[in-house]
Amino acid sequence: MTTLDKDPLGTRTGPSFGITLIPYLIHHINPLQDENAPPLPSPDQTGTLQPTDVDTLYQITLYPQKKWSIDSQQNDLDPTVFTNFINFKTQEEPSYYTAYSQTLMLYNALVNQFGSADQAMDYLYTPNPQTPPQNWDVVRNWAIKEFLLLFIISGNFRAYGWMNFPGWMGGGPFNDPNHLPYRGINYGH
Amino acid sequence: MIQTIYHIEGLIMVTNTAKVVIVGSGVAGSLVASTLINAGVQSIVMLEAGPKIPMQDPRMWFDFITTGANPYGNVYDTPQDYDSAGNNPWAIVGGRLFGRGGSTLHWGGWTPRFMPEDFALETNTGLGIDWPYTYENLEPYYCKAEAYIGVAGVPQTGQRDWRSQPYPMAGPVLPFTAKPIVDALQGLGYSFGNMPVARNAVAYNGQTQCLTTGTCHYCPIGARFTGDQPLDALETNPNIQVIYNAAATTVLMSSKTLAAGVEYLDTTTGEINQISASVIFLCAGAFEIPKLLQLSTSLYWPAGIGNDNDLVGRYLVANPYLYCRGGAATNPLLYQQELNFPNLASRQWDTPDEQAHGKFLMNMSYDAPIINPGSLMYTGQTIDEINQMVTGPFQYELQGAISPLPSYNNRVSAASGTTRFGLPRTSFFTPDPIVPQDTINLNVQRMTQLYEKMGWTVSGGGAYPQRGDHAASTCRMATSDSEGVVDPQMRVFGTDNLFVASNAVLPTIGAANVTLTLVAAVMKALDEILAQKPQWV
Repeated sequence: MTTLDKDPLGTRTGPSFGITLIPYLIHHINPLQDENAPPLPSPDQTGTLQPTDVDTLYQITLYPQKKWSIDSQQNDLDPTVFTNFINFKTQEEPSYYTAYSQTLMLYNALVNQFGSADQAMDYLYTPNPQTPPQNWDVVRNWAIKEFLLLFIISGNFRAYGWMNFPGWMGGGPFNDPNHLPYRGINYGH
Repeated sequence: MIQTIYHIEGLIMVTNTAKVVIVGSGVAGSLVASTLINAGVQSIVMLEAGPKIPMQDPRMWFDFITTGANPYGNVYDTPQDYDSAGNNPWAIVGGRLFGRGGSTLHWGGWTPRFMPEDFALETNTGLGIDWPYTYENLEPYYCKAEAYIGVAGVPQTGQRDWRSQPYPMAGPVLPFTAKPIVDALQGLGYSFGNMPVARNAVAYNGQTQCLTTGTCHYCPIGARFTGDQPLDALETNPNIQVIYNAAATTVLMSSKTLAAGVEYLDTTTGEINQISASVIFLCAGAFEIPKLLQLSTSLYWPAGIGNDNDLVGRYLVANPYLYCRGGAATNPLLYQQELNFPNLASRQWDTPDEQAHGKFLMNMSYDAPIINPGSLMYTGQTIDEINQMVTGPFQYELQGAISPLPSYNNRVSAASGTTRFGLPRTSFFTPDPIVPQDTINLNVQRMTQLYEKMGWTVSGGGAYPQRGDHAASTCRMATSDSEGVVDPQMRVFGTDNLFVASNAVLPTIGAANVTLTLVAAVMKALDEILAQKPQWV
């Protein structure tokens, strides 16, 4: 006999029947929404990062390939798309210009401290340091977390055996049964 | 349009004159507008209570995929916007939104047709009323509605919602995640198929081909029909003006039968404005329209327009929505939803035999299971830990909608106070259940049976709190004013030029999502109205 209840997981506010569940969708795409997260710093301060800075952020975004041993062949995030992402985030309000600038400052300080780019990036991707450096929370919440989600969306989800993932633009249309952009019902047969 | 300005009690009152005023910019409002523009109407004003909402905006999409935020997240009802009492009190937050294009901005694009029996509830069960026409009468308009919206579907052999024309576009192959459920359905001898969806299998109606991006609730390329898309074209036409942040407060009558215009509050300025019109279409949904009619009192209509028989706002229904969750301890086949829009559905129990106690249209949730490795990385999970989660315990959700049973006592009306959109707060009073508890139990048990067939463990099931999605029938269409509020052409009984084009007019609803049927019904009514060559065209 089935147990009837309202919502045993306590995670949802309603069905997904033709509608958006905003709280659930946020949880679904990014379960890391944290009410205690620091606010986006200076959201009205727009600007354009230098290409070298954008490239540094790009290298930071791809670092999970090393940290989590993900085959670089899975990655579809090219520098052009990433630059567009950064430009939209910094040139329009709410602007991430200050958040990314703080990320670059922290990264450079860590490089100086550790003497290695890899060690600096590894530190950024490791939660809960005993003595968080200044702006650690801002950098983690407004840069690293979103970079990770962008990284996974950009084809790297395939490292886990899947063919498609919410947000991936590379799958293509669904109208060719012989070249589905997802695992179809006859997958494996 | 003629415009005059004068002062009344300190407020600037602007009077516009238009041939047609349309209240609401959602899928019905834009359909009415585009049809009338094509018919030659040269002056239309559309009032939208909400703001413009940017769609297909790259920055918004980047925010959506990295934070979950979207630009319509702040235009929903809030808990302060309504009162609710009765059996399973309604909790409408998240069910509709206010803004350019209306609630189809967030819809899943589910586009099943009603079944033939859905048009004859009273004949079949003694409950409610029949529609004034049949499935056969509406079928040609279903085809037109599918073409208008852009529906992709997979035809089923022997389907009872028969079709005279093929789907406009071919639907997708079911995903791998559907296989265990399909196997169970087949093993139990149950029918199944693809849910028709508003997705562009090919470039369609000026919109891009779907790239299976899976962020349909904010599609970056507009490959799912949304109500703002028709407005993009309409707003380039000099014969139509859309006024945003304009809350319609009163329909003005110059006699018992003649609607003269609409009064509205400009919520950006606080001005109260009036627009006179030759004809008025109310397209603002099943909650706002009855409230607007009820509050439009006059010497001619002391209880509100069309409400001499106290029917406006009654027979409130929506689809109760059920769920049942189940899964297994290991996931060696890496089940993960990869086609993130509606797909597998079963209408096994969407049949005449079920109609008296509530039919059931079941589907597989496309929200579960999904694991996001990015969030696991952020919290410090190692590669081995993530791989264990990917191949470890998982959970599906089967879901489904019930066709509701109408009751005279269930009603929507205006409550005291106004919302941030300048609209009256809403009162829901639903003393009668719209579906028996036994129907809920029965269909949860049916979903449980499928999990048992798969050998999976069921972790729970039941009914979600009743939201307002698919709310309908509050100004129902009937053949006489003793049974309904509007006639088969959606004209308010007792008036010459006041129409309602909304879910509010659907006499009853089935288990299927309502939008396609609404579009078809509005197309049919407009065809009949325009065939009479009214003077205002």
